[in-house]
Amino acid sequence: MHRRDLLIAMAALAAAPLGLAGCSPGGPLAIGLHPWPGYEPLYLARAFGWLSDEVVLREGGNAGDSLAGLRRGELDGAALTLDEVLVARSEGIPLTVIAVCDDSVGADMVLARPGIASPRGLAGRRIAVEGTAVGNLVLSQFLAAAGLARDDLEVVDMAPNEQLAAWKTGTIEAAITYEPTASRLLREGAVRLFDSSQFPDVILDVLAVRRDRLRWRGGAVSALVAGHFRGLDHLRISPQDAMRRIGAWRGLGFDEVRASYAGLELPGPSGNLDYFGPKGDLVRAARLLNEVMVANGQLIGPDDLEALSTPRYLPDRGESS
Amino acid sequence: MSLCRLLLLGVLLLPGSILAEGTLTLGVFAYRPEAVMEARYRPLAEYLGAQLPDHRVELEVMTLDEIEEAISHRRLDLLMTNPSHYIEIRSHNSLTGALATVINAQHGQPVSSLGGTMIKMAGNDEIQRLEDLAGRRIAMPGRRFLGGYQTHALELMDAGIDPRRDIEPVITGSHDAVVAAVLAGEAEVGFIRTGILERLVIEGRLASGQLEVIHPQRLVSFPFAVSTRLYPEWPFVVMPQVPAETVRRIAVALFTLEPEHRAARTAMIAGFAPPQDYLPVENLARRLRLPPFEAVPDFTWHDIWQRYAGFLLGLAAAGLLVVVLLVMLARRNRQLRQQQDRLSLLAGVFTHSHEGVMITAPGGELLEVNDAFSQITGYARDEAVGRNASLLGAGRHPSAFYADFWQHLHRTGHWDGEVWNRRKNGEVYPQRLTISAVTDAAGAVQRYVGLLSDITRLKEHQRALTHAAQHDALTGLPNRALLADRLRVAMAQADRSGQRLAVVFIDLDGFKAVNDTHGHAIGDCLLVALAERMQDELRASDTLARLGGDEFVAVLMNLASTEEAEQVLHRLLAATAAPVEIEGRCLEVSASLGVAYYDAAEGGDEDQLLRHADQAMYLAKEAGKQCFRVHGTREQQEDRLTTE
Repeated sequence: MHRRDLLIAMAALAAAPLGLAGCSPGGPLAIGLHPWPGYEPLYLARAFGWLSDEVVLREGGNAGDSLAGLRRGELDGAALTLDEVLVARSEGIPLTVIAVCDDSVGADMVLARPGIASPRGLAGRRIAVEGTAVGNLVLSQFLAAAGLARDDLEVVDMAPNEQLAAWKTGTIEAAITYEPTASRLLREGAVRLFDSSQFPDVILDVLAVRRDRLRWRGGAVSALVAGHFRGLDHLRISPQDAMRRIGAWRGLGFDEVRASYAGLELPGPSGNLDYFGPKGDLVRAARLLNEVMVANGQLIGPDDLEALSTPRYLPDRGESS
Repeated sequence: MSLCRLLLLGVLLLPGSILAEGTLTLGVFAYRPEAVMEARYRPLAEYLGAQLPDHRVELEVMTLDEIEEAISHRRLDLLMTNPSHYIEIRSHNSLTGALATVINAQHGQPVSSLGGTMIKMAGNDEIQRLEDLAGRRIAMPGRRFLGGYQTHALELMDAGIDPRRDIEPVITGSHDAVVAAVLAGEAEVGFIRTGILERLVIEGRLASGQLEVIHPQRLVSFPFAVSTRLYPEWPFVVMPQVPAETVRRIAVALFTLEPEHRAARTAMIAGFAPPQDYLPVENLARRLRLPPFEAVPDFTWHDIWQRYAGFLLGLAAAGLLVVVLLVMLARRNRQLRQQQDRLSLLAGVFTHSHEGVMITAPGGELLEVNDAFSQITGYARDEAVGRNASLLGAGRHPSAFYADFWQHLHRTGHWDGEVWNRRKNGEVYPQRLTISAVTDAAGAVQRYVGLLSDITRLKEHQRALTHAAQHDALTGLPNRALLADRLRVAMAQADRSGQRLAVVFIDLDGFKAVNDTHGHAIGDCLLVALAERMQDELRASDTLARLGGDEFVAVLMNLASTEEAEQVLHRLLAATAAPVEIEGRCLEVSASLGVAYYDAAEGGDEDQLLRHADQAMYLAKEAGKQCFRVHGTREQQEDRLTTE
């Protein structure tokens, strides 16, 4: 009997290394997520069951929800814009970028009511701007391009998911916004005055995780990134299917979904590698953001950019298709 | 020379290009009944023919097998078939290309995607989810239909159902027949491609609400009920033998076909779009191992390593761990078994030994005893353990003995000897005791081990042996050896006390005749009887011994006078002469006695004294037996006898 017990114990012990490959002692990796075309691959991965059980997506209404979740310690990572990553880092949340979801080349835009034909026409009007770095960044870039000062506009702090209602009630006359609200506003007749294609490789949407919560969870992080790329693959090779699903989730038509990707670059696994490294676009964008955000008071001091990103969780290039 | 060859080549090529013009055959896969297909696609063939100068386009509605047969005979120029079939054909002839993708216009909304629709009878609540399809009878047009089987199969696989083994297929040949089979109850579930359901309702052959869709997908801008993910619509394929110029013209004709055109409306399409990416279909075929991917790919060790390196390493580590542990276990087991064997051997010695074993603390407290100990001492293990070994003592030995015992034990660590102990029942018995001290590395005594054996019987035996050595077996009287001993003692005593000592040699007369007449057994009985009688006539201090045969010797001690001796001699003569009755026979013998007195002043040893008595006995024999003679006083004795 003793011997049998011993054998069972040994079998369990022997099986332990097998379990290690797929287990996260710290529980599943909780990732904050909110609707945004660049993040849809993760939603697709979840819908098709391509995400490992080690990853849990916590869906919020906007980036603010994800940041709040990170601050409360409920999230191990989130899909955020790079500037939001810098803000979180300045608050002591040790985020590191593990993948770039998209690069805004026109997806962030300034929309105005029809009839306001030029940027200058906005002077004295109420404009909805999300009180985030991207909102401020687009606003500052827009103001600079239009030759306006911040005081020329009446800036209303309003997240995109609240903008449609405000637009319909006439509370705002312009908005700095992005998808899916942008498509909805455009459907309401809004006119595009300015967008991020004027300043590419600055507004990056990334997947970032807390470095202090990665112990024993490398597999889960890799699974998260792999899930994103698998969803991205589906979006790339079966857009007819993927975009119809996204449209159903977001209340958009197929063509609107397709249009929402017009202003975005979605780098695949090999394209992603170009963003990493000391000379990659991530560091360059972060430096620019450092300047803008410190100037706008969104950061007290520039981020040291230490351990800002790591490409170790990207799939091997040999495996990517 | 080379110019001639070039010209010749041109002449040879010319008839070919002329021949290729004329008739182009457009093959269309009959995914619905042939008549329906004929009616739908004839205007399209006519439209293409009209758009191409010098060409006529002939429509042929075919099954998949017929299409392949026709392609292998180069009888098809243009082809519209389902995407997975297109992938298969392209694998045979890689130059085949999709020129365009059909834009489906059914239901008024142009779509260039198709999927699968899983149907069941309305109200069949048993089947709700994909997982419920396992083991069901499922109608399908055929395994080679993309929308009618393959798209469904992938969803089943993702739901953990093997589409080849876990379902019961009902192959109907066409989508319409699948619907009919489900309506007729021949199958619980039907697999059809998207659009069929809606088409049948429009055609009035199906009432809406009669059938329900399983696992409906939420897709925007897609007019059909769908249960699977979407794939690109049918491709318009141009075979490699069609000249490039003709291909260009066909492309122009396809892309300029307006949705309102009769050909488009009849075919229920909205025209043609640039060819879509058919990779999803290829991936589907790969997953389902459909042709051309039915062959299991070569799976090299490198692939396995790439994919399962972590797992394999874990497995190897686990295996190694198991092996190491097993080896360790086996070794430990062997050691344990050896130790166990040794222990049981030792324990066997302890338990089964007939020698009592006791283990005591240095102070004498009993720690362990064996069964033999209990048998010898009478104390059960429970009674003995915890008490001091001194409880065994009989108190027969003086305290000096014990002091000596301890001193010896302390000095040498060993003691053995015989002691008198007392059993629990009070019986005192002799015991052989061996005690050894068990010491630790520093030499301090840890415990004592005592071996004890009951030597009562040994002692008795020893006594019996001694007795046997000194006594006559027949009569129990002292033998010659003991006689000599006693005589020596008696002589020494006589030397001290100065009293008289007489040795009487007794020889029976006529005993040989008794032996001869009545046998040795009777003779022996007679000897015993006479020995007892003689013993009775002697005093306690006297000794009667048998030398052997019918010879006895009596040692008479502390004789006050010769008279006292003579009284004894007379009594002896009388005792031996009286008849003895043995086994009913009356036997009579007599004795001749020879007497020798010991004279301390004269000295001499016991042998001499016996010899003298012996000589005197012979004199008595010569004198006519049944009398006594005293050594050295012949005449006197003779006189006395005759007077009697």
